Amino acid sequence: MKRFVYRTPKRVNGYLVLLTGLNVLFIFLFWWNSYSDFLNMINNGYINKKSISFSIDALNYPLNNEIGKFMLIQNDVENPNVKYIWYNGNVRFPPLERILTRSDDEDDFAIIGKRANIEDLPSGYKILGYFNTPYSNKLSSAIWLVSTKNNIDLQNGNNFVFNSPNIDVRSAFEKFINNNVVKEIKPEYYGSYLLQSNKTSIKLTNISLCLIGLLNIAVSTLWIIKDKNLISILYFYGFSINQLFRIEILRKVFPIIFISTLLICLAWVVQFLIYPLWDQEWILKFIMALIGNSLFLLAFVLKTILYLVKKGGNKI
Amino acid sequence: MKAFITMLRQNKFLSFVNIATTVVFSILLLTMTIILNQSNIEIKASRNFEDKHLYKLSDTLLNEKEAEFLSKKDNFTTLNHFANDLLTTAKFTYYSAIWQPIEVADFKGDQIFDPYYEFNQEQPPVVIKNRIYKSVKSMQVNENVLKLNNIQIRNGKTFDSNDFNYDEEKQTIPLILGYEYSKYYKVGDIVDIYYYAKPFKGIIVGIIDSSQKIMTYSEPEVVLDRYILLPIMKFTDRQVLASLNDIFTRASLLSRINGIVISDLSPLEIRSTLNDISSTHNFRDFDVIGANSLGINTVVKMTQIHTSNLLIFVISVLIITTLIFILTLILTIKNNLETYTVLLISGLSINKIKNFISLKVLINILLGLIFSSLSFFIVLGDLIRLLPIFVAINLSWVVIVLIVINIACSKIMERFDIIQKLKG
Repeated sequence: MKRFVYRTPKRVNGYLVLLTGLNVLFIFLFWWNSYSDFLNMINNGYINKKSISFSIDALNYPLNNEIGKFMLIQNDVENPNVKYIWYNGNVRFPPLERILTRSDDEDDFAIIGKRANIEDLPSGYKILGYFNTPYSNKLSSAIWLVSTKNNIDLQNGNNFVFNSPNIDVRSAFEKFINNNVVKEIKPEYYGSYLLQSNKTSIKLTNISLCLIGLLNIAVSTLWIIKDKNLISILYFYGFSINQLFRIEILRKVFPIIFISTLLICLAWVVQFLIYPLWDQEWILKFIMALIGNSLFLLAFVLKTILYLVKKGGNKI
Repeated sequence: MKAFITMLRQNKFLSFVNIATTVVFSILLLTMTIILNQSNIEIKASRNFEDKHLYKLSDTLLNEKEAEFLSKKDNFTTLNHFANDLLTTAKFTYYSAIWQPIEVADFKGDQIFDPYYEFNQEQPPVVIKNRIYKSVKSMQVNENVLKLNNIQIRNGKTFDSNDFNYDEEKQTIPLILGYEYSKYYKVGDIVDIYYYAKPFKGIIVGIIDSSQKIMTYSEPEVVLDRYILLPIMKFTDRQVLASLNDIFTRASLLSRINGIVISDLSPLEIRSTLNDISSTHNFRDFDVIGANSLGINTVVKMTQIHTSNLLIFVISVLIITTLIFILTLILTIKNNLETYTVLLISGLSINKIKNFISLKVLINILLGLIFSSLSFFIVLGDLIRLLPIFVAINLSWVVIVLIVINIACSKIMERFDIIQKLKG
């Protein structure tokens, strides 16, 4: 009897297919949110909604670079199109059209927009390539002077933008600043961030995520309820509550976790090998949703078994 | 009826989930309708600048030349007529958006409204006639700026044509405030301002929606959230001649001739038209500079690409979620097959059961429709014009879902072979 229960069904399970479809849609929507934010960030001159804009008059303490990945954009108000870029770790740069190959030991290089005023490029910088961002007005006219050595010179400007793919940008920023006195500036957003349709589409994605969450619950519930007769029979046959719970986990919860884990692996491949986005928030959100869904499944399986056992009366 | 009520009572939890998902579906459709409307507005605004020829007019009246020119009384009326003709010519669109800070008395807002806040170079308040005035970001605009950029007003109204006519008797000026001001001022409030060194009572006639932007000569996108908009004033000759020494009159007249020409005409035709206007009034102290339209075209293309991406996304989400919704309904039907068997034993025909299932689905969807339609009245009163489109989209969706459910029901009943089951 036990072997029968553990055997993989020969026919494709409609519920499992539907739940897999829902999970694929789930991860796609999380990706879409991050992808559209990445596009918005590009259209806004590579500054996103989590970025922190600030000005600093004097560096009384050395800035703390040991905070993981970050990108610091420095500029002078007199020439806002020329930006000094300082970064740490393997941060995602905007899409580029390279014209030079660069080895890691080289220090400074420039990336320029196709409409940038080349006369603003200081001497000593090799042009690594052009921004491949045809719909970004800000990047199309920008000159990025990139340096890996974080020797910030306030002569180049007092205005900064701190970008980090960290989940908690604020805490990374506070560590980075290292007790220096800064004045935060509330930035204005440009490009697609300004479009009302863009704002509403974020709401649409969130509503869709709620909808899929609800459908996930509905389908999972239906799938578990479908086994009620089998659970009752097995209970009468002599299976304990613990055994029934294990059987249901193997039949229902484990396949979902297995398929979701495959999806997470696929997401990592997309993020790190195919098309990296600015941060990995979409993967983390999916993992959180998966944990929530698995907990719900576990709780509902247990509730169903206990209910059926209570309703079913004594064993034969 | 009793049988139908029995069906409704079956699987209350699932019915609740179905109704909840239908409600979310209706909200989804509502959001899609709003996105379609917003994309339409944005695309319309961007098309006004797409692939147009843009030229900046710039007067050459500098220092002594300006002093000499304005020393002659007739030249004031010349400037006035030249500016009026630029605005009224049918050959091109004359567009003036002039960045010019103004001073506001007893200002309630915070530092973000300072003209140089983003550059970390804020200006200290000034005392004029024992009152504290704060310099704030302001944009002087003509009618075409609001029209071509399709500026959406959140509260109040936009400028009407009379608002652009200077009235020296009233000494009032209508103001439209950016969205960030909505925390501090409301429509109907009156603020004392200094506009080109002249005191005015500024009457707030409207507050703009968030993230509205306009194109200017130097920037293809100026976000209006932190701005005060003022109308560029038109004068009669009598008004001009009566206030020759006013900085306000001089500066306003000069502002009016430093606008942008927007047209489909060739550069040669535009220059010829400008020469005609210039010759009529014998005013030649201006240059025509080809404005940098590359930035504007980039923004236009960005809007169009964004809208296309969004539409593809919206339609994909709608199709996929509809399919998933239908699949869920089918699974629910399959789960209730035992109930249908009992109903069959009780004497109901298969067709009757199918109709009951469709009716149940319809009731669920209608509940969602009522909920989201109500939200139109409560939350989106100003978008009531979209209600017919919304209802049309919803009804099409209902019809599609009902047809699919009906077909699915027939297939399920066929496969289940209830008659055989009844025979035992």
